[in-house]
Amino acid sequence: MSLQQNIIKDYRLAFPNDTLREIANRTGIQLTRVFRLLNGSPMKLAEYESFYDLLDSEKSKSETFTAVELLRSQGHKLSRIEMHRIYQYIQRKLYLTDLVQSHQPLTIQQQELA
Amino acid sequence: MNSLTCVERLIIESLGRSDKKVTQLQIDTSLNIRILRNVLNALTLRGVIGQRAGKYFISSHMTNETKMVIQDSVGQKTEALELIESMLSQENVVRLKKVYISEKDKPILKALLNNLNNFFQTLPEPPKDVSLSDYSLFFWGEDKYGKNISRMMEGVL
Repeated sequence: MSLQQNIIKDYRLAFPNDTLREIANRTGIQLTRVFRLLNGSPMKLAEYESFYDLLDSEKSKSETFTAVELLRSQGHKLSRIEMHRIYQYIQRKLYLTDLVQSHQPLTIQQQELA
Repeated sequence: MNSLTCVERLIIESLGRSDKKVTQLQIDTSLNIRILRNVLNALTLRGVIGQRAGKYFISSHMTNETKMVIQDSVGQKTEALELIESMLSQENVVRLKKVYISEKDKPILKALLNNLNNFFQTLPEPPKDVSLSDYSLFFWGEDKYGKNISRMMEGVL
């Protein structure tokens, strides 16, 4: 199966009830173009990336949901020490994520250094 | 955050060697420029570093609380775990061996580990132009299999 066929298959699994219009809205691809892609018209790289990014974001949302739900429903079974370790681990990961993803505006000094 | 992350420690170690401009820090740490700037912002806000004449430096006006965070041994262990986690995410970087060491072989193992330790301690000072990012990370240790698992389970109980 080609990359294009695989990603369309994955999309259908993630959003089984989406109409063509809904696919177009989610991906940002024109409606008529979506129709052609689903009927075998070769996909452009940018279109593939739209599908990919959308599916990647959905996957990550569902994994986060699973982790949160697991802690909420079963977390009381963990020892206080283990829970504290998990808390510290998540806290550090969130802090590191902020360091990586933050788009703070540069100060004038920093702009001069660039 | 009441502790440092390993990326913040990297910047502090780099500035500990000398005051640096952003470009020099980037060369020394090999960090992506956006991440570097974010970490510099974070460390400046925490009062760990300052900026003067285009260069960053370690602040001499750090609060005692901030100094304690930098020196905290529990925090340093957590940083070490971050580094080890990163090593573990790579294939064929970390080796874990489960072996039986007889009483006869224990002194040989101890001597080999002492040699390794001495080797690291007697390495010459690196040249001044070597980047911090070119330093190598090693970690090793030994534990009894049963005690290791028991300790792990005690943490869970």
